[in-house]
Amino acid sequence: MRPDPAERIDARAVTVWRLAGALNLFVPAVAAGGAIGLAAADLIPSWAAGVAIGVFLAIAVLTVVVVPRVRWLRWRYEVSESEVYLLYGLIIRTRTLIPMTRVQHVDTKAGPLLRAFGLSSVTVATAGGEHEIPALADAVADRLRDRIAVLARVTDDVV
Amino acid sequence: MWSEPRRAHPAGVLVYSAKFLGALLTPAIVLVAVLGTGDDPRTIVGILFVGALIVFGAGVAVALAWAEWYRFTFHVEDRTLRVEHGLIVRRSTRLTPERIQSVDTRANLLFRILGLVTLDVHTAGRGQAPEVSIPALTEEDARALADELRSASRQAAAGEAVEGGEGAADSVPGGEAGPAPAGPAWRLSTRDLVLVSVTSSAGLLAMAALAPVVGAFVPAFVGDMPVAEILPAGSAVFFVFIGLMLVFFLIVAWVMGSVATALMYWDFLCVRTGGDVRIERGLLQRETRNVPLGRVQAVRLIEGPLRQAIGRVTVGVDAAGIASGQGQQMGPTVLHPLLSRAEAIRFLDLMVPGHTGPRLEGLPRSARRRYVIRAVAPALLVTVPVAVIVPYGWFALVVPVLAGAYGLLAYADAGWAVHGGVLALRYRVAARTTAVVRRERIQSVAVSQHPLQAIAGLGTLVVRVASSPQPATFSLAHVDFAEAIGVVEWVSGGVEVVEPDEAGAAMHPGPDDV
Repeated sequence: MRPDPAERIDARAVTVWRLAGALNLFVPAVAAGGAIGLAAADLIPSWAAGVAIGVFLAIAVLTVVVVPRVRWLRWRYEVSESEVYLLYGLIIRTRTLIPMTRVQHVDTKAGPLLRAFGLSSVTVATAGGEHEIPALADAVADRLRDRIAVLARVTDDVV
Repeated sequence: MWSEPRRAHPAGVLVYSAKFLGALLTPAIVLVAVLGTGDDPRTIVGILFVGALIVFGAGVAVALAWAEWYRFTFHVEDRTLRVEHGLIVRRSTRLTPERIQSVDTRANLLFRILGLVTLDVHTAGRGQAPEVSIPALTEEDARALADELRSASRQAAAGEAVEGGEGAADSVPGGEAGPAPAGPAWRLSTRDLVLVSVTSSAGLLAMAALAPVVGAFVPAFVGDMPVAEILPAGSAVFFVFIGLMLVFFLIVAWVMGSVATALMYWDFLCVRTGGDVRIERGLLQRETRNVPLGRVQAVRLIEGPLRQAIGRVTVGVDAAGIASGQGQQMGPTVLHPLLSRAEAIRFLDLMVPGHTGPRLEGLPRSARRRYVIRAVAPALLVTVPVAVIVPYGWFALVVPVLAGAYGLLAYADAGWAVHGGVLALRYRVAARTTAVVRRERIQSVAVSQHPLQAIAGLGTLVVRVASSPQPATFSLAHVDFAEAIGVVEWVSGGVEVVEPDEAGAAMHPGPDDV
């Protein structure tokens, strides 16, 4: 049995995902607020508003507290001379192997949130689609990108 | 022969005219509609005015078409195709042989009568649209130019292969440079053309296209016609009537699909010429397409329900950087629409060598229940409410039963094998598909597992390959997890996995081998 990939992604990923999760709460928050408003205007019974608030809190706890932490815990990657190996997924655990010879190009990228924390993600592209390693420290991401680029060039014979 | 800049055949003006007139069609219809609905639409002046506008528009379109044809010149210099074109923005295109992926031709009915074709040159990264399209050439000219471009492209690929050490054309035999004599060829007999047509799933697509029409018609029919008085709504006879209407539309859709398929596969020819497979087909729109073997990423044996019923297989390939052809924007390029299973193996050995291999292994017993549940659960979700609410709705409960049978079938069909350099996966999504991929063509491999699969020691195997216009993904659910990881190892290190006694055994796409 093949051992799991060794490397973890940056621990600050948890904070970034928590922030992103909190921002994504905007719509549920509006919906819950709307339910409170409707209950205040006696348009719906107050227990319905209670349910709405309960659902909102459940979503909030899940997406802000639980999911980012578990997602980080469950993300692993490893880059060897001959391949990129990924293991990720909260519930559905996916192991992906990308032979180095199939790598067409490799990028780093970072949105405003990742940038604010000095993080980048590394995208590995093959002729069969793209794979992303999210949230690595900028320096680590840059080094990894350059390393994959060099390794991929050595054995460049695809398609 | 191609060293001097030259123009396309004058019939190219027709091609461009059609393009410009097509662009004018919508404005013209809007114009007629708007002017025609005025207070007094039938004044002579009004009609003359609209008529003059249309004639003027058509005149401008033809003049533009002529100008575009006049501006389009091409020649081959230094094995590079050079094209000058463009009406307002003048473009100068240089297509080096390294960039050429495939050279195809097509001709509509008029062009076929005139002995002309349109020549399309495809490159990677342009998707379905050809990089260069020469609107009209005589058939001889097109053949000569296509041969020249192809042989330049092959030589370039061979050169690259030497430099790179390992072959760009990989280990696929027959990838040698230079034009080769025509090899084995397959045609479709009239009987087979009929079979291809009547077993086509194009009818299903036509039905999907007809669905809104049916939706609009059936209530109108039933509501307006005396039927409504004879048959009280909600009675059993009423539902039978609706059923008959649906059957009628189904037959119409099936006939339409069959005719479309017959036109598409008319006078079909598939021939191996050196490192290419050439496909010619079509009546109204005749296409000649070349699939370079070096670009083949995967082979698919597809058995649609109707074709499977008569024991026939469609053979397709996924190829990188080539257009997959008219009326077939998605999915693999069809090399042959109708072969018996035994013929298919022989066909593959001659056309796309290196893609036959092991006998397939079925899935573990524990997967069977999961296949059934996966099919039945959504069916129950939909039909139970229907059964409860709609009168005679309990008829709908036949659907989950059928879904269960389908799940069992999907389980029985599912299978896979690794042998030598080849991975084969078989799965059913309506049609039964056997995908065959060579190890060096696998772009990535993944095994995923959800908690319920983890309990049973199962996983889902996913293999990605390059294809056109998009990458293709083959996946097989509920494979033994450890064996699936074995496939990952195989892709990773080239370790042989499967029993040696199966060496050389032909792969049987039939159900009997599972």
